[in-house]
Amino acid sequence: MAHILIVEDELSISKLLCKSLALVGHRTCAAFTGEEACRMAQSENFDMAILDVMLPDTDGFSLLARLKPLPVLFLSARGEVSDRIKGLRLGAEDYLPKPFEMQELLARVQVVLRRGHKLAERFSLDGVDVDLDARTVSVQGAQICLTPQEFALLEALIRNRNIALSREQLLSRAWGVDYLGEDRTVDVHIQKLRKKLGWEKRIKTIYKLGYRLEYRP
Amino acid sequence: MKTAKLWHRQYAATLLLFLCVFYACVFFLSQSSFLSAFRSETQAVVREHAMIARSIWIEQAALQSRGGTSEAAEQAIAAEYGAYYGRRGMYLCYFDAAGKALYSNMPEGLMPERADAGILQTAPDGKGVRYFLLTGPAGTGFLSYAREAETLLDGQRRYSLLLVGVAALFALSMAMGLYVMLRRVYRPMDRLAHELRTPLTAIHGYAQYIALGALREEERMEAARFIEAESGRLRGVADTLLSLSTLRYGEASMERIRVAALFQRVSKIYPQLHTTVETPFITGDAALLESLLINLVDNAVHASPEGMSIELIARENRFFVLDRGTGMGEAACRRLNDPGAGGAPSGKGTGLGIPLCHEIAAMHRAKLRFYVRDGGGCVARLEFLQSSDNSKMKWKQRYGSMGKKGKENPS
Repeated sequence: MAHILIVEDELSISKLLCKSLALVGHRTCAAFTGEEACRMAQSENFDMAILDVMLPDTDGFSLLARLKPLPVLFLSARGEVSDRIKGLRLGAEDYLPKPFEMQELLARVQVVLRRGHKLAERFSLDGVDVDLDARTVSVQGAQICLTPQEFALLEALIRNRNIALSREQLLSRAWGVDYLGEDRTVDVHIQKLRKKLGWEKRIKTIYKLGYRLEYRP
Repeated sequence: MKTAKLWHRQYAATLLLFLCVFYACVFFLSQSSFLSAFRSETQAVVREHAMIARSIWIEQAALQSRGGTSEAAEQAIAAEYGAYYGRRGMYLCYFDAAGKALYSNMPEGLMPERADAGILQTAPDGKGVRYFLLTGPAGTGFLSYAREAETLLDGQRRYSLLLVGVAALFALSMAMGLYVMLRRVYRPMDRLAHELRTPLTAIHGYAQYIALGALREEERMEAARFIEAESGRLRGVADTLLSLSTLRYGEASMERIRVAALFQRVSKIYPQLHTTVETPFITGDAALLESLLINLVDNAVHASPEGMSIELIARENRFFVLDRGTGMGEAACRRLNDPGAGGAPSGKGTGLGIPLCHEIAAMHRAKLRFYVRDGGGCVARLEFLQSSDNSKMKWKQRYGSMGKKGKENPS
């Protein structure tokens, strides 16, 4: 998965970002000042950076120029339209105001990574190999057939592994936002997925919420 | 184009509305004043024309009664009046009944017409100077009367320019006043919104992390600890806000305080504090002054390397807090010295500590100022303006502004 630089001076939020991104399989490095971020960016190869605008020694807007060409997602308490426009005009890939929804942050990170072709397209677990790009799935080396909805469900679970997704979220991802089907449809397809992949214990049912693919290496 | 903040837009809209109404009033004032002067001037023109016309009629009637009038006699009468009024800046042109001009001393280029009879108008001469011009019956013929209008028009132009200039100055001062006032109201709110967002982000994020993530027990516990810590921070912001609100509208109990005892209480919290007491007593609210000193010392401790000594000095009517920490720039100093700016530009605190200190200082009729210390670090100076040592008095002090600038460093 991707290697992401987190530049945030608030310890609690920095740790939250690192932990949330680590849940879905990303590797992270935390910097608390602009100088530290520049040093890290020079010494390591990152796929993208998540940048706070207000830092103790500099502001994120000026730091953005020093981190180029690293794709940057701004995360700031300054959520005014003028700040967002400034950030985007300076070349940021995205701008997310605080407080943010964890799933929204993960989705936006995914978009930035996909745009830079840095998103991992292969996933392996318990003898199951999934190629998200070629849309193929093999179990113990033997290819199996999944319906488009089953594959879309599988992709959503893999991209958000260790994060619970509600039935509504799964429905909208696999069937589209306009689909008027019942939540029960998701349950049926999840049962089929579990059976086909042998992931009865990996895809957990979260009470009164939905499902979560659990995989902690 | 840079998108403006909401309050900038509100400011611009208010200012625009004000300018529209204000300049409409100025225009109305200028026009009404001009119309009044114009009316009185035209009335004078009509009055004088009537008077001359009547005089000519009387003279012609007298000639008629003595045996008849002639073109030459009418011309002579008109010339006599023309010469007399010409010396007073009024010009005449006399036409006979057939419309033939018998006499004229009109300025060059000013050509009255017999057909314009009964119409009061302003007309320019060959040099562009404007005149009031009125033509009407006079005896057996018609009389055109002209009187210079340039003085009135020029006066009106100057008056309008003066009015616009004064209005522009007034509008500029109003615009600046309004901006300063709105900034004073909105800037602490901006800062507060930011200070609330940070703990809220953490609490919200960790709550989602616990609810949605596949976590181990220790991860869950750590997230819960962060939620607890950030809730405490949120409570701190609320407490500070409450203190600020109480201070702005409340009372301070002023009493004679032993400075050594006050410093000792602060030293108990910060063992690295090195105190010097040259002023034995000060008048003030002990609890509030202690809170203020704790705030200042806490800032100094956070800015200094661990274990480095901080100095707290009482000298004459001043308290000083000196550190050799990371220091700050002149811009940060200016920001700290502005009671309405809302504290340091970035930091780990609530950002409301400095405004609280300014409020406490204002209640004690004291001035709080921050300076960059020579050789690195920072100086916070609290100067009590009143030297009264009255025992037990209560007074209300609403929010006050900082006074003149001055740099003093006891080190």
